[in-house]
Amino acid sequence: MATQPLVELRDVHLSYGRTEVLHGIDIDVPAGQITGLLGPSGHGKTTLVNLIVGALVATSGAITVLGETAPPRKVKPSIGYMPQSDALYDDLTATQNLRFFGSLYGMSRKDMDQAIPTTLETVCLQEEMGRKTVGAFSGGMKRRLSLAIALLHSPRLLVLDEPTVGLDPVHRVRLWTAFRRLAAAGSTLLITTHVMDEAVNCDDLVMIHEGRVIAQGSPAQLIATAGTATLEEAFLDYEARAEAEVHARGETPGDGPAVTGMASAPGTTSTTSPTSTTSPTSRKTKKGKHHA
Amino acid sequence: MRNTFAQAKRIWQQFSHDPRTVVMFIVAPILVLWLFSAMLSTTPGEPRLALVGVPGPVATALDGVAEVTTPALADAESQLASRDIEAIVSMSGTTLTVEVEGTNAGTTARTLAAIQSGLKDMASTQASTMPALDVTYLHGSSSWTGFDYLGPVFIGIFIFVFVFITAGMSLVTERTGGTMERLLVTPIKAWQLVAGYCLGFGVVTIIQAGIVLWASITLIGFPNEGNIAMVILTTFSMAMVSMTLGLLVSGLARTAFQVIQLMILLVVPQILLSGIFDLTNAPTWMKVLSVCFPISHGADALRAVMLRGQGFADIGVNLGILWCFIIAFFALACLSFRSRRTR
Repeated sequence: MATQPLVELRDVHLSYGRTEVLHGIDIDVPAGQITGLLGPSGHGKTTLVNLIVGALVATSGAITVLGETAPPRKVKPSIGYMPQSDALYDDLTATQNLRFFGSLYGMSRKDMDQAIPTTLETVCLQEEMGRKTVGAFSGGMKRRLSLAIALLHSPRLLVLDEPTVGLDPVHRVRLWTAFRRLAAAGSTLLITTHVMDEAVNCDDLVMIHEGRVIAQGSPAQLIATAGTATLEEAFLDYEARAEAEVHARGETPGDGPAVTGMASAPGTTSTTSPTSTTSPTSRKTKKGKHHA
Repeated sequence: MRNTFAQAKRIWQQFSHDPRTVVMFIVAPILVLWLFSAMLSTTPGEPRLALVGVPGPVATALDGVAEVTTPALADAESQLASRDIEAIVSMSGTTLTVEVEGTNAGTTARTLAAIQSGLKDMASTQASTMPALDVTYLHGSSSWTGFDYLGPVFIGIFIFVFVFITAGMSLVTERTGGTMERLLVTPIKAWQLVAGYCLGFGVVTIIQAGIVLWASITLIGFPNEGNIAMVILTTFSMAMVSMTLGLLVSGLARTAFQVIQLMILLVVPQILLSGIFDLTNAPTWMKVLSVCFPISHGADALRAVMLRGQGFADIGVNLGILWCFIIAFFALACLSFRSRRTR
C-alpha cells in the first residue's frame, strides 16, 4: 500500500470496570476502500467503532484517526458517523434533523441547500421532505435518514455501524451501490455487519471474535486461506481456530477480569497489509505494544 | 456560538412540533397556583366575630367585614373554645381587644386582616380615630404566616420544579435515544451544548414565567406590590438556577427515573426550607442549610418585591447569589458532559 491507512489501531485494549472487552486489537483501515468489521453481535464491533469516532476512550493502546491520535478533535468534521441506534430527533422533520447536524458540522445554509437533496437521493428518501416528523417514519426510513446525516457533510471517513439492519432487500442493494460509489469517489468507509452476504461486498474484511481480531484480508483471500466454499464457512473456521488457541492457553474465552494489561495474553492479529498475499493464518503471537 | 444557536433553534423547533408540552408548560403551573390560592382562601368567606361591649360605630364597621353576633361574654368564650366563632372582640377605653382561637395561622391571619380592614374603612369614612388593637391568643402565638406570605414563594417553587423537570429530562432523553452519542461525535463542545440548552430553554422559560406571573397576579389574585419587571427578573433567575441544576443532574443520570430520584433529593429539601415553614425557632444547622439553598434566596427576593414592593437595591444580594449558583451549576454541567463515556 502506497498510502497511509486512514485509521490505525495498535494493541488497543478496553475495559468496562474490571471486565475487559477488547483484548489487544490491531487494525488498519486503508484509504479509499470499504473495510468491513465482521463478527457476531456483542463481540466488540460497536465498541471498536465508538473508539474510532471518539465516543469512548481506550484503556490502553494507540489509535490514530486521519493522522490524529484518538479521541479525535481537530479531525471530527472529517468523520461521518452512523450509530447503531437511529439517534434522530423524533419530533423534528427529516430536513430539520439534517440541518441541525449539518450546522454542527459547520455547514453553511447554502452548502446544506445543495447537499440535502443529493444526500436524500443517495439514501432514497427524496420524497420525505415534507412536514412529517421523524416519529411517523418507518424503521427503514429512520435508518436511511440516519445514514443521510452521516453523509451530509461529505466526510473523508465514514463510520457506519450496521447501516443496513432493518432495511428491505431493495434498499439494501441500493445502499451498497451507493457505498461503492462513495468509495470510488475517494471516501473511506468502515462498516460493521454480521451479514455475510454484505461482507462479500467489502474490499477488506476484519473478522472480530470475542474482542479479538481473528483474521484480516479481502473476502477472496479469507475464503482461499480457510479453504472453504463460502465466507460464512470461512468465518466459522477462523472462529474455531481462535477458540482452540484460547483453550490451548488455558483461558476461558470471553472472560476478562483477570487479564488487565494483557502482557501474558497475546492478541492474535494479522497486521499485514490487507492487499498483501500473506495468509491470515500465519498469525504470529505478539506481546506488548511493539508497534509503538 | 453557531453551534450553540443551532442547538437552541433545534429545541424551539421541537417545542413547535409538540403543542401538548407547550400547553402543559403554561397551563399546568397556572392551574396548580390557582388551586393553591383557592385552597387557602375559599374557606369561610367572612370570619365570625362575637362582639362584647363594642360601641356602635365600631360594631357597624366590623359588621361590614365579618359575620357578627353579640352574645354574653361566657357564651362567647365557650363558642370560641368550640371554634364556632373565630374571635371575641371587646372594647376597653380606646383599645379594641381581639381574642382569637389561634391554632390555625391562616384563619387567624384572615380574621385579623378583616378586622383591620373594617377599622381602616371606619377611620377613613367617619374621620374618627382608629382604636388601638390588642390581640390575644386562646391558643397558639403571633408567629403566624398567611397566604400572602406564601404566595410568592409558591410561584418561585412551581417555576423551579417545572423547569427542573424539563431540563432534567431533556438530556436523559438524548442519552437514551442515542442522539447524545451522535452529538458527542460531532465537533460541538460540551459548553456549547449546555449553553445551547440554556439559550433554548431560557427563552421558553421567560415566556412561560411572563404568562404564569401575569395569570397569577391578574387572574388568580396573587399580591404584587412591586415592579412586574423585577418579579420576572427574579423568577427568571430562579428558573436559570433550576435549569442549570437540571442539566447537571441530567448529565449525571442515566435514566429518567434517576432524574426523578435526584429531584427528590436535591429539590424537595430546598422547598421545605425555602420559607413555607417558619424557621425562626429552627435549629441553627437548618437555618444555615436554608441559606445555602438557591430557592431560599429566590423566595426571599420574590417576597421582598411582591409583598414589600422593594427594588433592585434590596434584592441585589439575593440575585447575585442566584447567579453565582447559575455559573457554578453551568460549569459543573459542562464537566459532567466532558466525561466522554456515553454508556
